[in-house]
Amino acid sequence: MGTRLRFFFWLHPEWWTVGLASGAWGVMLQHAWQNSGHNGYHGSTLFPEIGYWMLMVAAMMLPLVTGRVRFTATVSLWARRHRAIAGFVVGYFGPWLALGIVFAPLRQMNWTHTYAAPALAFAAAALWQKTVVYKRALTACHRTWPIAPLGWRADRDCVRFGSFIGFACLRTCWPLMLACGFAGHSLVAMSGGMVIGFVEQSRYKRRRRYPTLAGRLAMAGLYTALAIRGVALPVTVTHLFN
Amino acid sequence: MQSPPNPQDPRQPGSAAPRMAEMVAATSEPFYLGPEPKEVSLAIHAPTGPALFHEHSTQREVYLYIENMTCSQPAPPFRVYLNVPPGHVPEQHPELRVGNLGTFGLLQKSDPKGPHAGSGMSFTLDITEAVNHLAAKKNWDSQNLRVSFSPSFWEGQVPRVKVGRVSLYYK
Repeated sequence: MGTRLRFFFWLHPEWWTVGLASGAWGVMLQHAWQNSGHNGYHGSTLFPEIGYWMLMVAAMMLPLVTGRVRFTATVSLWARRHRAIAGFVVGYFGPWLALGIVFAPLRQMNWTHTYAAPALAFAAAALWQKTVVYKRALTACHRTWPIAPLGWRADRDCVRFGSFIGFACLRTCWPLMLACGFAGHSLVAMSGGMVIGFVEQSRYKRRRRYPTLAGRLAMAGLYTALAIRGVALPVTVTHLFN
Repeated sequence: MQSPPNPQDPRQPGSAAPRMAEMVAATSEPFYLGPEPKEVSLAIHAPTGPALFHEHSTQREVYLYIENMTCSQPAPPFRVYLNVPPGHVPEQHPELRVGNLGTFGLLQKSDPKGPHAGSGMSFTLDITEAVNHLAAKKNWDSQNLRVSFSPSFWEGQVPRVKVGRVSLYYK
């Protein structure tokens, strides 16, 4: 059994990034449970907001880049494959951290704590899908990168590759992730966003365009309905900032 | 009498170990091909993973992977040679030729705004037979490999073709 497990880990060097993502999901689930019923109305101060943003990125985005992670390990010397993966992950989180630093101050504003904010962001995500920038970025998510075998060049190339893929993913998914952030990292938004991301990654060209567009519009519709319901029925907003 | 295979000990041959390609050598920086033959050297590291199981096996496979070849202009195909004697022209040693890199579509694959995001072309060459041949001729160094590239016939000027990396895999 031990040998079979070892061979499984050999074939799937990306196992611990999936573990990281699972851990992040666990924290987000606990966060959602503790703040159930607040969702978009839940607020945090600046640094915790950045922390939850990065946890959301780890939970939602790491599973989508397991192919690139596995590629990084495969093209590295065996003894340093996990170090190569770590370099890739560090580089990957860089662009997302930058967006998180922009998101966190936005999240301190009152208007981002309404259902209208994620509704608008999901609608923007649907519009963004029609742009040339989005299409080029989606292709760039599948790029390969030459990585040096040893030394500081190998570390540099892994971080570079990770940041290239991270920036490509960011250009593809930034409105979607902002929408999930504005929704208070709700499980519905995160799960929906992740499904859209998987379909985008796995289906080819035209066949993936309509399902992912429909997914974005459905999420926009859901939060629009919640926002309208909020206008029609007075909601006691007593916990804007926890 | 041969001891039974023990998958726990990587030095023992183990038929249960998955056949996985393990990278053992690669260039450190991108380089350019042009009108003249170009040679690169790869320092080969001893395998430490799955390739250990088949290191001394007659069934070991060896692959050369030429990655991320890009160019902003149409380019000729390139012939690939292994361990050309120093100072010799590759074309003088057809027995050392291991493959041909076809460049049809190179321009389209090199376009960063195109459907391949500028990844360029990558080629995998099975050089198992060539390596066995080199070893038989005492022209194989287990710690160093020289790979030469030579352009095929081309009308007009041969442009600069960038090669991201050349790597060696044992399987």
